Amino acid sequence: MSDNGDRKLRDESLSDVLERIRAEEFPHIDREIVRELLRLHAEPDDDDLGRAVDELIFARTGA
Amino acid sequence: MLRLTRLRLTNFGPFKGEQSIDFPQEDGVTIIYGENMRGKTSLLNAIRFAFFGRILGRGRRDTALHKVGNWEEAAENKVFGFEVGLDMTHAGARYRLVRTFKPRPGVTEPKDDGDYVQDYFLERDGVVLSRGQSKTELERILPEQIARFFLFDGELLQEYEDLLVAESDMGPKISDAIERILGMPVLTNTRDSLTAAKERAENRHARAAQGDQKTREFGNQLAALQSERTVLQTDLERQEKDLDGLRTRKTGLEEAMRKMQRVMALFDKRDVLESDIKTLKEAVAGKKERLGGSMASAWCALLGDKMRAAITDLRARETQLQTVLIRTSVLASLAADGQTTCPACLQPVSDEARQHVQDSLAQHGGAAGADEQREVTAVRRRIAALEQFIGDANPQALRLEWDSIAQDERQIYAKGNEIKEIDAQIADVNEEAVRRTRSDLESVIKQISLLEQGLGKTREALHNNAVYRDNLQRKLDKFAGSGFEVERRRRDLAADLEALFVRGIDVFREQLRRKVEADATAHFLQLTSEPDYAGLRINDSYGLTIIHKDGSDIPVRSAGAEHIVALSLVGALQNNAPLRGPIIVDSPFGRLDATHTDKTVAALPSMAEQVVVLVYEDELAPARARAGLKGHLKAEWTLVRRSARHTELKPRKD
Repeated sequence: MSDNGDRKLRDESLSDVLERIRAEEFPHIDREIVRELLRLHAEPDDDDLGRAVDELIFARTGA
Repeated sequence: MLRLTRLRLTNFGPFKGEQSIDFPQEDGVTIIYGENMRGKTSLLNAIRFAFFGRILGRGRRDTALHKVGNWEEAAENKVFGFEVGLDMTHAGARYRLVRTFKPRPGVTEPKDDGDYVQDYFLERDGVVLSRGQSKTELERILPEQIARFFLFDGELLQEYEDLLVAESDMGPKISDAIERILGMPVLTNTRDSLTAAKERAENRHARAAQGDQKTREFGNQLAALQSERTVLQTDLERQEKDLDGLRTRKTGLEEAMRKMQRVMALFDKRDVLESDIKTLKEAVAGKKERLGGSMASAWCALLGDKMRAAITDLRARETQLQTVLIRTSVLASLAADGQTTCPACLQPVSDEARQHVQDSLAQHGGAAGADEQREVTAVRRRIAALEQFIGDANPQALRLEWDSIAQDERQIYAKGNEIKEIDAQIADVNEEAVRRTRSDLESVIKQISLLEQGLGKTREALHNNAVYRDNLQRKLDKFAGSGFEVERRRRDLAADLEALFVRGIDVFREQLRRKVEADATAHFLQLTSEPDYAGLRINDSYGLTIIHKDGSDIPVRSAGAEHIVALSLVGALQNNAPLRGPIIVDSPFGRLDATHTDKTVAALPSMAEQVVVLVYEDELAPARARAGLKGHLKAEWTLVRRSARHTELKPRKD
């Protein structure tokens, strides 16, 4: 890979990294659920985190 | 970005009464000068106390807080406890954090930490936050786990060496802190949440299978395995926690042992010093005795010239007398019976001439020359005595002897002082404690070994459990179209998300390592004076190795080089951290030579937007700091001694 390519990869943000991996290796996963999971975990000490994660998954897998 | 604006202290350590220090609002460096024991470390600890309610002493151990209040205020006015206030800005908001440590109500003479109560409150933009909000907000502003990158000293910089030691106990803790400051927890926490979500989905899937006649048997087996997994996971967590506790204890005991080894070395040194003093004292006594003898004739030095003149006269008289004695001896030979020739000129001697000599000698009663012989003996005795007086009264020799005694006595004094210093350092040491510490350390090492074996077995059991569960899941998945289909989809999505985040962690971690390596190298090349060093190479734990320009590693480095590398790492972490803040560093130049000090000073403004440096003037002279920082130096303060227990914070104006 070129230096520019290296630098581009090196400067990717955390969400850029996840989106690239999602698109390349897990295209069947909804982009929004990844973003939503990151947002949920950005705030410390969320007591309802487990329930919130389950709800995200339920919403995409039907009742 | 977190920026400190004001620190207020009330009876904290040597800072008696209410005192404060204002930090400039623009980017740059503040230097606080203070000699040893004036309170530099106390200032660092005041900030640490404000944020975390803790104070660290030597060896990174917590200090008893009841010892931190101002001693003079306690002794004179019976005022106990202390308070620290910290004003700061973060993400556009103004904060005021006040933390107090005061005696419990009714306690007038507090003795230990139990007699005090600690409290704090946090204001945001003038509004006091609830206890819960304050806790969350403080955790967001500056998590304690990453405080080491903002508040540090030389001792802490030295710890980064452990990142290069695979079996070190401290290394993994520092690696965790590094990943925390770099923002990895959001990824690892999400992964852990997804793992838990996947397990919950698996449990629901098993329960659903138990409710269907066709899959009940598989469902029962799966539920049993899941229960076993829960037990194993609980065991694993407990064992890991115990292991972590034991490793922390081991680090503490090793530190104590290191200290004790130093104490043992001090004991040895003390013995050598005492033996040296004994030898020197004996030498001094001998020299003084000799000097006493010499001093008895010291008065002779005053008569030296006269005595030398007397010796000259006496030697002349000695020569005269010797001539007379030789002549008398010759005449006696000439007068002897049967002598026909002169013994001196060998001419024939007539009988008449011999008779004349015999008559002449007889006039002296047959003892010609006896008086001269007595006199020459007396003259020689006087010459010898005078020469000895002159020799004994040699003032130069006396001076040399005095100097030698004075030098010995100086050495005795210096060595005595060293012994006093050593005594002060070992005053509280007892041998029993040394033995107990060694035995505790051996016991902890054994416990760690056993626990590691136990952990290995638990992990193996968990792995086997996972294999059995996967087999059952695959069998269960063949039953398509049943009522538990939806739980399977949820489980699969959770598993795929978990895999996505696991992969993301690997990629992002590698990316961060490359960024940290590149930035640390840039800082390092700015800091080092060695032209043959090409940069730094990072390992999996964020340990940094110095690379020579020929590509080889520099395997061993000095404490000074360790500080340079550690400062490079801290600078790189500041560059790459989502959470940025001030660097407050205590005595960072103590191990650096003048060139590295200058380079480090010049690099400080690039390491963080707000830098506060606590130094003593021999470590960094004000002129040197001003020359190195130029416009980046925004404020200078001095810790002024009022008494041994009272220091004042003053803006420096020279």
